[in-house]
Amino acid sequence: MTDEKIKTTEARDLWRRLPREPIGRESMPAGELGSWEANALAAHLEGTLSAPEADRLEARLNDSPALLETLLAAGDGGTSHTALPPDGLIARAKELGPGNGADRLVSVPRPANENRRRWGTRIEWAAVAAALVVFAGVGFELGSDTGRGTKKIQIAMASGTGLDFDLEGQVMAAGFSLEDADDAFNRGEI
Amino acid sequence: MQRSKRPDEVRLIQRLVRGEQGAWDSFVERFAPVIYGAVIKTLRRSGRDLDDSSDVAQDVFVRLCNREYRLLRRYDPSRAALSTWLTIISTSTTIDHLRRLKPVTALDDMPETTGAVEPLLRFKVRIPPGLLSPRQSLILKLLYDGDMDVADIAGKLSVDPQTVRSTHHKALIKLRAHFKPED
Repeated sequence: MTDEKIKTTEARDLWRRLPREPIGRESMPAGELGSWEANALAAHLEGTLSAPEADRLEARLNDSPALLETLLAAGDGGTSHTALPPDGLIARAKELGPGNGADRLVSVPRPANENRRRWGTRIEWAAVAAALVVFAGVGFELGSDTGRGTKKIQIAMASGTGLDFDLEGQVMAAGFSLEDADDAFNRGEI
Repeated sequence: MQRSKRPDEVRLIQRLVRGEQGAWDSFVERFAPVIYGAVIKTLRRSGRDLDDSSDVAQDVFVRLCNREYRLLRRYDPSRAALSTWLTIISTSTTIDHLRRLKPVTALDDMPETTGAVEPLLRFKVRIPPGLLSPRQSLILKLLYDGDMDVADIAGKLSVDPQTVRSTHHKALIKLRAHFKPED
């Protein structure tokens, strides 16, 4: 009853007026709690946290919704809630131990893998970028050649010699130098 | 000095780190009920069925022994019992698992029926620096976003219910002053 008294509409509205932002999964990286957080939460559950540490933990709980949710869930119904695990679980968990194939799991350092993956990704992007540069260069060169060829064809047609593979010969036979013909083409005369 | 607390737990971890034969098996047999218990309690609390419980518990074991027991070596026996620490680790792993299952949605898109605690995981309140103390923010968050009552909050934060009420009262005074239109 007393709770309902303190939770007034005005109080709720004031709290809700503070800006809030959605938390993407990417901003809450999955994985292990920090070393201090896990030990402090455990001490908190056992009621042995010092006052300065309790202040620090409360500040962290405000910053980390996942940490807060961990505290709320872990504290439900006492500090330790045991349940009989299925046999299959125990057998599978034991297989993770040394000499049971877990050596492989343990000996693969994750940061190195991540670095390798990161470098692999960079090399792939560099290769894509290099391929784009080469394609652009080849395309430009082909485009230039096409332009030059078009000019020669136009010169040849203007001189009445018709299309032929020996365009330079045709142009020369018509009494033009290639340079003159090119200049005339650039001036828009042919 | 405090390290002399819980000597058998310390010894077990030392045996594990040394790679002693049988140490991991002893650890699994002794603590599997704690780990599995924390996993199913967290799954139940979120309203999920328990189909994934074995996989999540296995994930806890993988995390514990990964990189030569790196996580397990972080346990500080001077702070709490190993079973309490494992409860925290198992609960956190289960919450990670639940987070991977459900996409994050915007506040406006959330259905009315969303569980009371869900917003705590989905939104972060941006409190202007110096406006509220960490405890004041936390209590308002649990009261209004978590829809918890005073007794629950007092239990979770290990404080007196009267402390929750007075903290709430002081926080409201600050919020009223903060939002008061400037005349």
